[in-house]
Amino acid sequence: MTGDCAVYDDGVLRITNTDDPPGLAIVGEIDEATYDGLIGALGRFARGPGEVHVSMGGVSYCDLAGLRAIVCVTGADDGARGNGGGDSRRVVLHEVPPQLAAVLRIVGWDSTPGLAVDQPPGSPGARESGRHGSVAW
Amino acid sequence: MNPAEGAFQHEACIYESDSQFLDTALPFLADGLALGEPVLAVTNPANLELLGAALGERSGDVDYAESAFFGRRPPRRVAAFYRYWKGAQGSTRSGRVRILAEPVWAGRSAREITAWTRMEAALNVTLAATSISMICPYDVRTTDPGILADALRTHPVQVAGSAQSPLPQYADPASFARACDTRPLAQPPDGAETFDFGGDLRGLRRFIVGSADAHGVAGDRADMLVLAVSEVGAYLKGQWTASATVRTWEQPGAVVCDFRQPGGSISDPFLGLRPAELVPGDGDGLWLANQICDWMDIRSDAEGCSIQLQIPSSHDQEMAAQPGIRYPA
Repeated sequence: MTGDCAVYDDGVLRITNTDDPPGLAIVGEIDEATYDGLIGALGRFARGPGEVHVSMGGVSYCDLAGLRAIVCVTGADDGARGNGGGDSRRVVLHEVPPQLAAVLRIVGWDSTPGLAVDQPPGSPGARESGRHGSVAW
Repeated sequence: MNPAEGAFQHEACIYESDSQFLDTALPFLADGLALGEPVLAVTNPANLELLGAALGERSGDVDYAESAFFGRRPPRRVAAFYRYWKGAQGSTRSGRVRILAEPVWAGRSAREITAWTRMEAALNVTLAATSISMICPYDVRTTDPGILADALRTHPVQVAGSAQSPLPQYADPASFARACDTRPLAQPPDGAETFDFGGDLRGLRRFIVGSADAHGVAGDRADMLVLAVSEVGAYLKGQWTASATVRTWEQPGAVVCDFRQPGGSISDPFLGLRPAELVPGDGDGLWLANQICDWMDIRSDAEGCSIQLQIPSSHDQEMAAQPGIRYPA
C-alpha cells in the first residue's frame, strides 16, 4: 500500500502517501525533531471526506506528542476541546508496533471515537473493559 | 463546563469494625445506585465480600475491583480513577460518579506508604476537575496510627455513617506532597554508565538501549524504558537548554536511570500525575514515564533538579511469567 512518492523524508523519518486505502505510511522515528514533518504530512487529511489509513509498521520510535497528532489527524481532539466534535471521520492505524499499542491503551486513546487500531497478528489482544470502560492496571 | 464538573469530593472514613465499614460504605453506594450514578467499589477481598452480601440484589449494579490490582502504583491508581470517571460519562444520570477506594497498606515499605499517602493528597488536585464522589475507608484494626493521622490531613472531610464533618487537620495538598519528598534519591554507584545529554534525543535513546541490554532488560520492556527515558529527555529539553547528566545502574530488582539537570528547578509536586488527554497538557510525557516505570522521583535543590526512573530488572519474575507487554496488567 506504500506509494513511491515521499511527502516527507529527512533521513530519520520518511512518510509516503498511499492511495488505496487513502492515507500515509510512516517509517522511522517520530520525536520533537521530526514532529513538524509529521504535522505537515498529516495536514492534508485534516479536512475532506473518507477514512484515513495510517500504516505504522515501520515506526521504530514515536513519542506521545507524535502519537497524539496521528490519533487526532481528522480532528478527534475537537470533542475534547469542546468544539462540538465527535463526528470525526474514521482513522485506522495499521500494523501498530506493540509498544505503541501499549501506549494507546495506557493513555486511553485506543477508545477514541472514530479510531480503529489494527495490530499485527500475534500481538497482545485488546484489553478487557468494565461496563463503564474502566481499566485496572 | 458541565455543571457537575469541578466538584471532586474526597472523604475519609475511619472505621473500627465491619459494621462501621458498612454503616458508611453501604448507604454511599446504595444512594449512588438510586440516583443512577455509576458506582465503583475498590477495596480488599474481605470488604468486597461484606459489600456483596449487604447489597443483595443490588450487588450486580456495582463495579468492583480488588485494591491490589486497581492501579498497582499510585500514578496508575490516579489514572484508573480518572479513566473510570471518563468512561462513565455517558451513563451517569446526575453527572456524578461514586468511588469507594480503600488502598492496601499491609506489607508495604516505608517508601511505598509515603507514595500512597502522597497520592491521597494529590487526588485533591489531580482529580479536582472531575465529578467524582470518593470515600476512602481506613481500617483502624489493621492500619498504622501514622497512616491514620495522615488520612485526616489528606482528606478535607471525614464521614461516619451519613454524617460528614470538615477536617481541621486538612493540609494544603502541594505542601503535604512536598513534605513527602524528603527521602534522598539513590546515588549512582561507581561504574554507573554515563551519558551527557545536550538535547540529542536519538543519542539518548541509543544510550538507554545499550544500557538496558547490559542489564538484561530486553524486548518489550526495553522498548517501554526507551519511551520513558526519551520523554524525560524531551521534557528537560523543553524546559531548559538541556545539559543533563544521565546515569544508569542496577540495584536489587531494578534498573535505575537518573537525570541530573544543573540549574533546573521543578516546583509543581504533581507534575507527571495529571492524566494525559488528547488536548496537550504540561508534563504529559512525564505522566507517560510515570505510568511505565515503577518509580519516578523528582527532586530540586539549590544546584539543579533530578528525575530518577526505576523499572524492574530482568530478575523480576512477575513480568517474566507473563511474556509480552504487561501494560495494562
